[in-house]
Amino acid sequence: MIIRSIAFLLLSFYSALSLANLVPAEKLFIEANVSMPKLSLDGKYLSNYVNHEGTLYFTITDLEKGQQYIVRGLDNVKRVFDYQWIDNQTLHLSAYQKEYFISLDFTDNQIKSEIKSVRYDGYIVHIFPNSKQVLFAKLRPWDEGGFNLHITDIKTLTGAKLNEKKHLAPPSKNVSFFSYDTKTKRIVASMKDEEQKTILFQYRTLDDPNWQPMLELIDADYEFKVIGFFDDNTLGVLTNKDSDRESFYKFDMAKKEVTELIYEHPRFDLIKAEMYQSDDGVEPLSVTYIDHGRYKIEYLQKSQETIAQKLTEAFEGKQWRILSHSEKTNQYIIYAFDSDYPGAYYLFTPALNKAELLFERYPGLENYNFAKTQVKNLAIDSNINVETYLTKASEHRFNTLLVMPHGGPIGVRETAAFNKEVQYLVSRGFDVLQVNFRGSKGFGKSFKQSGIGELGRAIEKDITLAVNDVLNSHQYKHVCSIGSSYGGYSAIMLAIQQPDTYDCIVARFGIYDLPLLYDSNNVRLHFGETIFDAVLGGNSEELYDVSPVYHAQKIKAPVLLTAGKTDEIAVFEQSRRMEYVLKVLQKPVSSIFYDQTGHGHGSWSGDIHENVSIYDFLVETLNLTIPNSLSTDDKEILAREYELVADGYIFTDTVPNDKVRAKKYYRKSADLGNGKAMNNYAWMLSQSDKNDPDAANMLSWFIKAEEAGFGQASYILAELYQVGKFVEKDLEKAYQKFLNAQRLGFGDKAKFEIARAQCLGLGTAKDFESCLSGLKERDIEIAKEKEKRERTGNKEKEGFEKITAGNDLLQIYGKLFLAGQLSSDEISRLKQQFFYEFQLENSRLDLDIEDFGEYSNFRHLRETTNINSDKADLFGLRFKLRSADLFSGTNENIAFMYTWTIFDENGLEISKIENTFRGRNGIWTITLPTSDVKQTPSKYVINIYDIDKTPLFEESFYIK
Amino acid sequence: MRTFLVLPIFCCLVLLGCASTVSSIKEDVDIPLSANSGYLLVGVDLNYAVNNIQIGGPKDVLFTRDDLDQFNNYFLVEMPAGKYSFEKIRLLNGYYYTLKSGYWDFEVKPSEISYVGHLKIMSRNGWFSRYNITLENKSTDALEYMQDNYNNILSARRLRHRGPGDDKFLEYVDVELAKEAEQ
Repeated sequence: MIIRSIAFLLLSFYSALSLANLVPAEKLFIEANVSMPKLSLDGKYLSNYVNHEGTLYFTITDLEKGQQYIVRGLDNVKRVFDYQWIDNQTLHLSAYQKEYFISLDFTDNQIKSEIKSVRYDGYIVHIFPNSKQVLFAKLRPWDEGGFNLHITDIKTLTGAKLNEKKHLAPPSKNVSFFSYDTKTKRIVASMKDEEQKTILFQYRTLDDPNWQPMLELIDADYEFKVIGFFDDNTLGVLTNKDSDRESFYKFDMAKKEVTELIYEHPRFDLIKAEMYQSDDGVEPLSVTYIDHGRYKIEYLQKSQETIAQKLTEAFEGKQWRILSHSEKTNQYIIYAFDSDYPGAYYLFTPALNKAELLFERYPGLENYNFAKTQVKNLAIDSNINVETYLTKASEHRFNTLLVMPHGGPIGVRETAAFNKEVQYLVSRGFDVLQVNFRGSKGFGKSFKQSGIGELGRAIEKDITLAVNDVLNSHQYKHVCSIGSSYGGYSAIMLAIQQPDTYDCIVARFGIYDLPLLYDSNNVRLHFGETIFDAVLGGNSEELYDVSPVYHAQKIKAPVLLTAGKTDEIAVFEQSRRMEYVLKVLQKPVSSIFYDQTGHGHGSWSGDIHENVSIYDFLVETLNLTIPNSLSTDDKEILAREYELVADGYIFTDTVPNDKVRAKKYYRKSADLGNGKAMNNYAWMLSQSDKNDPDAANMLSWFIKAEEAGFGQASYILAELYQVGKFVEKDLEKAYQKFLNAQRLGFGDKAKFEIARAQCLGLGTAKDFESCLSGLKERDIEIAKEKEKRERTGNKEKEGFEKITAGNDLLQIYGKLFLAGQLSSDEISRLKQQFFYEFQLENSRLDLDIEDFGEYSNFRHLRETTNINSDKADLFGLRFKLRSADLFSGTNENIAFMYTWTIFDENGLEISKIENTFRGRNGIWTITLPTSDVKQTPSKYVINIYDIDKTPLFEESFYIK
Repeated sequence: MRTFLVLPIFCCLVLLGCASTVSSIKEDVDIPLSANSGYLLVGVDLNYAVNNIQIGGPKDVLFTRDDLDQFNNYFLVEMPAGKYSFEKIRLLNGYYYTLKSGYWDFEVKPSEISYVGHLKIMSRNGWFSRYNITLENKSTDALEYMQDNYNNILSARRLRHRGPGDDKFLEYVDVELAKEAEQ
């Protein structure tokens, strides 16, 4: 990694260079490959976790020497959730279903690493610094349940040498979680009783085996988070038990009550608090809250105020978080981000006031500009204030406001952090309004509770007032609603309540029939009541009054519905109902329902597909014109995104196959100049119904694709000229097109045809030497590609491509042998090269017929040359082939060619199929499906040859 | 899925009481139903092969995999009206699940088509793995299935959800939506 120094107070978050106005969806909806930077305990090393297209590894940088090491060997690790340095040579990884330790040896400026997994089911509660002693919660046998606690070491855990009888007895088998308080050296056990709705906390020290009562929460309708112990009897807690806002308190365990308020924010809930060990005992350190959408940490100790001030100044205007700190070097890893800044990791040295950029979270977004979100406090009435978040496109490009309610709706909120979906739409020219309506979290208990049961009522009233506030300051041409989950519900409900305000609706993964939340299946009916009551306020007939499914008649605006077919939160039936009633009522509705998709996409390709589809829906529905002034770069971005949407409907299994939509999006992409889309659109036209008025333009689209530089189109055109399909047969043109295909990067297949043309003088002067060297060159390329893929470990792809490329080469040789236009000397040289490339020794073959005639599912039905049985699905023959060389082995490679020549009922040749096979001595089958040939009376003649074109077999089959 | 809703038992040879095998109706012809009987419509949503599904009530019946293959995972049969429940599911691998009473109940109402839900049986890992079994309300699928395949019967009878819960969607579609669509 290159570490770039950035001078204090001269931090520049943007490059002056801007590639384009549009942010490509492919760069936005992408995984951050590098993450979790951390400092070793001595501050000497900086580690990063890297997930590069599924390959996991760590980079470790020696900050003194600037030398970087790569730690591999994580092949069996599925996914790392978190990791920590437990000393200066050991990493502890918490990964999917397993925990690991990586020991590191930096001797001689090289790294040696060894990864070992914990050999027991359970989890590490605490690692005691420097001793490598571990507190481990081991899962007990399934019929006993719960966990046993062990104090052990890494070697024992990874070496499967745990003495299972020697353990610390847990207070109960119902412990849901163990934790360890480093300041008071206490093990804390939390136990949840679902039926009694209680959470019980107990603790013990390492020396005293008795578990002590600590805290009991009974049916708590308030927040209560334990931060740590101040002393034996006093906890530091974040709670709103006795206050409206979550605040930092001291809690007396004996009295079971909060005794001292440490910090309360006048408006916002605290989301985090920290304590630290001072000379005088444990003291409060800091509190964190979201202030007008911005992440803010406030230090309660004067000694820490300086660092906070320095960081605020260093990252002026940006939000920041401390991720890691080395006490030894007094350096910090900082994550800086903002609504208009995708984020980056920095190494901050307070003594030098110096922030060094470590890496951008999304390096591909470095050179794009993003819009800053404006946060406003809006008074709804004398008691209620809501925050609004407005993110504007530059110059209101489409003069369209998208109202985007958040999900939840209770206990969820918006922040002014970087939001990919918002920035995508803003980059495309739309303004986006979000609202922390009542029910949102972060603004106190009463504000949150005021949203319960207000779905379709006060919540939408808040949003509507926020919309009106924006409309008062700017007159938009269009207003649309868009949202996901509850936001999907709200998007439709707003348009039902304000039909004249909204011009279109995008409802994603939404709920539209509120009573169905309770009884979408029998499990929810019995166990979901508490969960849904906490949002809906109870199951009653009134829910029908605020369920969009039952009020769809009021909708005036076109609707786009998106949903996941395996969604277990907003079950697919919700979207099916909404779509059904809209269709019955003949309202304009379109839908994209994703296969293998739950409550949101599991892959970024799904996000790209959906977001681009939404953009297109907005443009089409609102009849927006993409400005001609778009730069070439921007047009290419749009074209590429339409291509991806089209590909989704053809080549992926997350969107149902839809050729009509694929064709539409290829055409859109083609109109923006995308050569591949032009080619694919032409291909779809070639497959379309003859009545399709665009079908006649198929050839012109292949030509346009070629002109746009898409090599495959040249290749297809060459094939058409070669056989005279849709165009007059012209071998010279065909040859030129093959050359062009090669020039445009489609050389892998074109080279074969070029060589064949050179060998046979098809459309060019015969040039046997070039033909021979061309075939040899391609064979070397295939071998190199194979080697490269084996080296990079992409064996699955290698297997398929090797077979494909190797078969193409085999077919070309076969065609040359069959053509009968080469001299005996040329045949001899070609054969020599062919034998070498395909590891053959003999060309002469013996053929014995096993059976012939009609087959069903490759089972022989009867010997006949008159093919007329309804039971037969194949016809042809089965034969034994072996090398004519008496001394050949059973594993010897052989090769042969065959042709099917097809004649119509008048004896005229209609077409010919040529094929070449390479394999081993043994039984072979050549058949054709009867379904392809039963339409008209015809004759099929099979000829089989060896490589010398010596006839081995001939037979005619008659289709009556 | 709560595991205590089903009791897995491994058994190679199981006698499934006196339940009679019934076949799904093949023709889209509304038949004069016996007194106090109605149509039962059950959907089945599987990613693992099921041998049969046993239902208990006024009449004990067994749906077999032959019908599952033939009728796009729906059973439509005439049944005496009354309260029923899904009782057992037998898988092809020999497992069968006894479903806990109280969680799998439904009703067949006289004269109408009682859609009681989709029995969803999902295997996590194939053989000897855990199965998630739920009764899902997919009324829209059921409605469209009837419209596409049994429109004559649907025209003659009311289709209602009679599975767990009190879902009124099909009633709304039948009565109010139809009126709204005419306007």
